[in-house]
Amino acid sequence: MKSLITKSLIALSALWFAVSQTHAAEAGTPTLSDSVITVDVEPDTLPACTADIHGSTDRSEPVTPYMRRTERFRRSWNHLIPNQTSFQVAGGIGAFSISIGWYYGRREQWETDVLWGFVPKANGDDMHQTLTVKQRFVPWHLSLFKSHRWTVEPLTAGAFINCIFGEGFWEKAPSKYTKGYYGFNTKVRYNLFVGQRLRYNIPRRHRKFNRSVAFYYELSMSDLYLVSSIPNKQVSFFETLTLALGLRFQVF
Amino acid sequence: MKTLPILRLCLLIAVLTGLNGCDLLDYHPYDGRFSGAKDINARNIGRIETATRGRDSLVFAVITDTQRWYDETHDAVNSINARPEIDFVIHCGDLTDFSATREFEWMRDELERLAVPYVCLIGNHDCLANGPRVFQAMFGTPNFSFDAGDTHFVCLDTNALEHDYSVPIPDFAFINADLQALPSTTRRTIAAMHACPYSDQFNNNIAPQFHEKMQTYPDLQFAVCGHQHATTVIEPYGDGFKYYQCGAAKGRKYLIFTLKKDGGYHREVIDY
Repeated sequence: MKSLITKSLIALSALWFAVSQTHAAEAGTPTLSDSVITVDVEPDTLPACTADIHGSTDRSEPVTPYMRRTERFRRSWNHLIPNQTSFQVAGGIGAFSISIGWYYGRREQWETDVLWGFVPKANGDDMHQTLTVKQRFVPWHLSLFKSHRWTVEPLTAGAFINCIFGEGFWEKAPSKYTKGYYGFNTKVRYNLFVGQRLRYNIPRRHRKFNRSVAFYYELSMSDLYLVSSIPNKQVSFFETLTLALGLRFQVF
Repeated sequence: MKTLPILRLCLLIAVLTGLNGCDLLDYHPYDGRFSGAKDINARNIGRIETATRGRDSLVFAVITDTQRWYDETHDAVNSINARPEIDFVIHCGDLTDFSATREFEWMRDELERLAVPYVCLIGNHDCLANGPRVFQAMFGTPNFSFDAGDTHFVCLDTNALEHDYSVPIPDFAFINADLQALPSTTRRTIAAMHACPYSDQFNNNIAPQFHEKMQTYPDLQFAVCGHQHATTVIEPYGDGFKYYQCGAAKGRKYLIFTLKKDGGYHREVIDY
């Protein structure tokens, strides 16, 4: 458990670093999409913004190094505000799962999601909860019918790591087994996926909670199925695939 | 026009249900959901008992440890199907490598191709995660027995290491109840298990008592087992009582036992 927390912390800091770096690179560069609203604060609005936070309306207040530092601090942490959510059916991480996540990069080509999933009771087994970290690469965003309303993302690809909780699921084999008795773990699954997405960009006047909504599907393969399929002709590649259907919402 | 959205919804539900039927919409490798044959041991025991009623000689095959060797198992099934003299097949456990639900389905679908009935025991690799629950739903209880002609077959779960003493393994209560319920026609007994006494999975603290108990079965001939992936003959107690171990499917060998009318038996190792 301890190692898991450490790993998550390392992953989170790496993500924070990646997100803040890409945002830093973007600062001042106009983005391709008209609807991108960055959370970056323009340098000239700095004193006013700081003053607002402190409840003061005195715009002539001098900018102190303290204000600059706290503003920078706030700005970098702002990047960690999740800007997308999703709802997924199946896909090897639960019957249903919900997520919060981040899209980032110069062309919004990177996405990182943290998903919570629910595996219902079946055949006498208890229900289980799962936690997933998914990294997605979306190289192309093509507008459909030359309209800004519809965007096709012909390829999404990436990897996800899933962790299932419950009795009998271990990452490190219990000490009762001799070393290497089972050369795998039952708790953490490593998966690769490819998919496609169709996005509807909600017109500004109709926006309520989200900027866009997209339907996606993803075909993934788990590490356990991969090692079952490779040495066996009897287990076809198709039999090892898992389908996910979902909706992805860009919040801002 | 108003019916159109309802029709669309019905179509969506139909498509989703269709997808749900196949493995593609997988909830998790350990979700425990599977389609197809369930409770296979009970079904096949019925077939074995009906087909062998009144018989005083039998031929049965033993395969074991077929985990993640689907091609080899496929060939083993073909080889067994090509021998019409075989009455039934005993699988001594380890159908899966990781206890993943789809592995149980893949292996079951291979074994379902057998022309003769088969029974499956639980192996230690089938005991991981939710494997025992999936095994129970697909095949049946981990301890079971059946009668083929005049021979009683007792099949036991011996994967003690997997259960941390929370489940009695081997289950003496089951053995006692089974001894009580023996039919009067029983002339001899064969035992089957995954891991033999004094192997790493067995509860070796009670291995001698287990041996004593098993000898109370009428004319216990021998035991068959798997687990150690080698085709060998083991005498764990050094008293001449034999455990015939069958190798893993990787080694492409299975065993055929012929139980003769005069009470003797013959063992054959088949390479395929």
